[in-house]
Amino acid sequence: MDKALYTDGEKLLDAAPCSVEMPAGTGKTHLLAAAAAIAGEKNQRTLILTHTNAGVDAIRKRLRRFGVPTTKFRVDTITGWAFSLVRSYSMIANISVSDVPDWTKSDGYLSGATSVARSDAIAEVLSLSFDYLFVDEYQDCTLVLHEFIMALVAAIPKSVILGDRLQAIFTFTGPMATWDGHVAPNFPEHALDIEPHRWSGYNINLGQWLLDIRSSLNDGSTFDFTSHAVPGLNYVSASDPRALTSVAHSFRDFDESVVLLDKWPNDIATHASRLGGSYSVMEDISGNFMRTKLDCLPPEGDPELARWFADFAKACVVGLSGIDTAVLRKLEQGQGVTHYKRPGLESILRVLDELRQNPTYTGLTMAAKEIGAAKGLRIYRWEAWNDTREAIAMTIENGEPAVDNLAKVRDRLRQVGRRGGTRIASRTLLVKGLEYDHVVIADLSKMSDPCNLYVALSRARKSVTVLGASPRIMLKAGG
Amino acid sequence: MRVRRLWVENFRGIKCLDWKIPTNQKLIALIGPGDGGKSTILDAIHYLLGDRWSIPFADTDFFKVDVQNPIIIKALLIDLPSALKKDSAFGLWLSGVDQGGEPLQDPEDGSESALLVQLSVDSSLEPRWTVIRPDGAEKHLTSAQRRAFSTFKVDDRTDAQLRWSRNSALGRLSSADGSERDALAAASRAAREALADHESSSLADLAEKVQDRANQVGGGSFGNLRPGLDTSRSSMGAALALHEDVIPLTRYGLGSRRLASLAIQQLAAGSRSVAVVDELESGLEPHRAVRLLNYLLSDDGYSQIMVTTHSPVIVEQAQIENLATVQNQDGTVIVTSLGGAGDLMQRLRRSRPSSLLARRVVVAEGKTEYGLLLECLDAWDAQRTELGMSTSAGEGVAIQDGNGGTEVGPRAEALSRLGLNVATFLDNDDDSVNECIASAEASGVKVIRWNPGLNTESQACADLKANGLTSFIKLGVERRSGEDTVLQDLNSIEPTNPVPSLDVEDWTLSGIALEDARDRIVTAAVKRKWFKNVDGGRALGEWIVRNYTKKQLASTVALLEQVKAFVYSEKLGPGKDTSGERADG
Repeated sequence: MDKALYTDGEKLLDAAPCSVEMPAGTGKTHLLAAAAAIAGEKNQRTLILTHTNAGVDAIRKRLRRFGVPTTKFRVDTITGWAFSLVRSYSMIANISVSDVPDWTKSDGYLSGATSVARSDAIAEVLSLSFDYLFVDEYQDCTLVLHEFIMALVAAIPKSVILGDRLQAIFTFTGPMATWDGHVAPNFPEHALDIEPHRWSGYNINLGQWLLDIRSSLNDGSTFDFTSHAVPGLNYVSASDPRALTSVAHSFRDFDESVVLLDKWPNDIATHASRLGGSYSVMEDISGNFMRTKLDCLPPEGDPELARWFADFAKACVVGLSGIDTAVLRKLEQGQGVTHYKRPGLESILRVLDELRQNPTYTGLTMAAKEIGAAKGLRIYRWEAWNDTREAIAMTIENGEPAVDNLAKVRDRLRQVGRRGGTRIASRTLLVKGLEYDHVVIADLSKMSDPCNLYVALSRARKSVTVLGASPRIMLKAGG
Repeated sequence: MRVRRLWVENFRGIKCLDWKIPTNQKLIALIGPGDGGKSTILDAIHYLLGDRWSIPFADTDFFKVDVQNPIIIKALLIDLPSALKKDSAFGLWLSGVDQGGEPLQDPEDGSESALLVQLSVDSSLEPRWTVIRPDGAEKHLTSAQRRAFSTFKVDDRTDAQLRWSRNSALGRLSSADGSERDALAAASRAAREALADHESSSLADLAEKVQDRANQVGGGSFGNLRPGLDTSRSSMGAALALHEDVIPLTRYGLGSRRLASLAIQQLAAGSRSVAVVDELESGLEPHRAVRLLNYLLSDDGYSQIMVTTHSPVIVEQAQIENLATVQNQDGTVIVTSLGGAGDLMQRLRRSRPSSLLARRVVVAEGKTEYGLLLECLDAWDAQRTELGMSTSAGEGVAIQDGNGGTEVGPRAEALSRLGLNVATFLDNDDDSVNECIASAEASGVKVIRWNPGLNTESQACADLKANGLTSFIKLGVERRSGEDTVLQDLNSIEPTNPVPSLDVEDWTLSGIALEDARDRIVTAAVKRKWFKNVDGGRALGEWIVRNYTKKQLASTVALLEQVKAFVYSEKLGPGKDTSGERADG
């Protein structure tokens, strides 16, 4: 830890309770970890909360790098910590809780945890356990989350709120806490010098540019990419598939990571499919795509299983166009499909037919293996493909519904964080907090929300390529 | 930290115990007849909360050696140390406890935070420590975590605590104030130096600290406590141990060793520790035992102390609130605090602390009856000793002076409710006490009274003929030291009709009927207090014993035989039990 950082960390601890607004890539996590490390040196313990498991993971890595002993901090997601509290004290929370969290009930957990944190005994536990409370990404706090945080703050008064208003994109439901209305009155602003640390050694100019444009990313203003020239920023005046393919395949160094961003889940799937499996679709945390599929997974013994599997495979794999409506209809009617002439897909027709005749989950996993190994087929929804297979394999073992097993598989993702991948297609929302060497924005016209645009742009360390029929975008909050 | 409630199942002599421990007392002295499970209770607490890595359980540790029913030792702990309340320890595993000592799933507002800990042993004999919640959730509890409970036991195996080793409290203290290795290296050097009469090491400083504490604890008089090489146990080789001057502490008397061990273990356990001491008075003269008691009561280093005692001195010196009796009925053990027992118990304990330690108690009406019974016991004991049978002391019998008839019933009942076997021994000439006596009897007290309408003197004289009465008067002469005095006593009853002599035969001749003579003698004996003290009672008892087989005393002896049967737990022969004849009024 250099001396400047140490000083900044010490000042931050001294200023608590306070709030710090820092743009992406300016060392927010770094500062947070440094402050926790300094507190740790003084034998003080810190509770660090953020929104996502990816965030938790990033903070943990940083703390490890600073060599902070694990006894000196606890890092968790806000809802994860809330769940721990209600799980332990469900009577005080007045809510019944299962062993495995059901994240559709997060708001219930949060308001229950608020009661727990405000109870005398647990407030004491909190104040004995922690000297400091850090909450990261506060711009993503709903009012329910905010209430919970305020209950924690009552027990751990030395609190530091970190965030960036311009990164406020979310799927959280319910009214949001606002910086002016909820943060500022409770946590006086702590001013810091801002440096684009993330870009040093990659593309410092791009970093500085991302800081400079912040003030122009406002609701109602127009942003024109042709009026900005900075190394690494490219505008491609087109948004057709061919242009996108050519851009996507222009990154030759496979050690460098590329993320292709668009707005809607279907757009992402379409792009990834068109790109022939070279980009893999990132699924949202709860795995809604797989959930929808597994929700209608036929039981074992139901001949419909083959038809279901064929549908699922077609949604994840490039090269299965031969499994067309004719084939699907036969499967649906429980009739043989091996007589169809589908060059290259003979083995696939065979395994589908076997699955039709012997509709078991074990047979299904065999069929999936066959597809994975088949020449000419390329999976572009790797995450969905693997998790679904795993969920069904777990059902073979434990007999529980595959949808419930999927929840367990996805919960593990929450715990360990996302696996890397150097070519990812995703929505902006899902890559918040993540970093890539290169960012490709597939269609500028859909990036009208200033926060969405800022988050998309600021994911890039080295370059940003923006595709769009027009270089201009009219910014509209929530647009 | 303190234990608020203790549950024990299937452990040694305890089939089940559910003990709500009073919250307002730091020290609790368990009393009651031996084999009641007092020491087992202390062991249960120590096994559950001590930091031993494992405990070698045997089949014989199970109630009735039945390993099918697991041993469960469970406690609800309150006043938890801060370290245990952290989220990284058991901050997310707290339960609550309400005013009445009932555990609550969560430490809701208005209740107190508590930790429910359990030690269970099944037929595999592997002890398992867990933190549990009322809903059954459980989490493993390591020996390192148990160390935070700061609980230790002082018993007869204390010598290990007087030596430096990895597991002893002294060793831990040394490793706590710096690097263990250095300390132990310094220790062996210090040992050599001590032998060579050199000085100054961190161990010597520690020894000095121990010395101060040990002297505080109980009238110890260590003046030069220091580390040294103890070669006295040649079989174990030389060990680094505490020495007073050149004498290893392990060579000291039991009491001194225990005091030093207590001091050391408390220093190691730190503040707010829980100590269990089996037989507080063990090896100590009464004054040192009392000093130790007072030290424990006043020392802030302890948050809870559980002791057993068999010492009347301790029972008398402790606050009544500190005492609790342990009753064991076929394995069902009940611990009753004397705190709520009120003035009555206070008086009872002061007058005769050993009653609370007895197995059977006879509450006698007053000094006369008390003395009378003591004399009878002496005689009965002598007879039984000749026959090779147990004496009253061996039977754990105590005789209480009830301080008057009105007190007898309530005292007997109070003692009976504590689980003691109680009998009363009192007059039958005062109807006002009948209600109390009936109540006592209903609570299980064996009521033995003189025959209806009689007090001790009239009972003794009830069937006496002239020669018997003359003998009784002679006894009076001995008591009153002079024939003239007795004559005056007798004539003071009916001055207008003086008696001619101290021989009742003469009275008959001068026209005094035997009934009148008996009335006059009894009245004189009562009014002039021939037997109204313990010695008087003893003298009367001695006289009865001497005439035990005489027919004139048969009705009196029959009642005393009931007392004897109670005292020695004998079966009475048929027809001798006259309790059924007792009429009210």
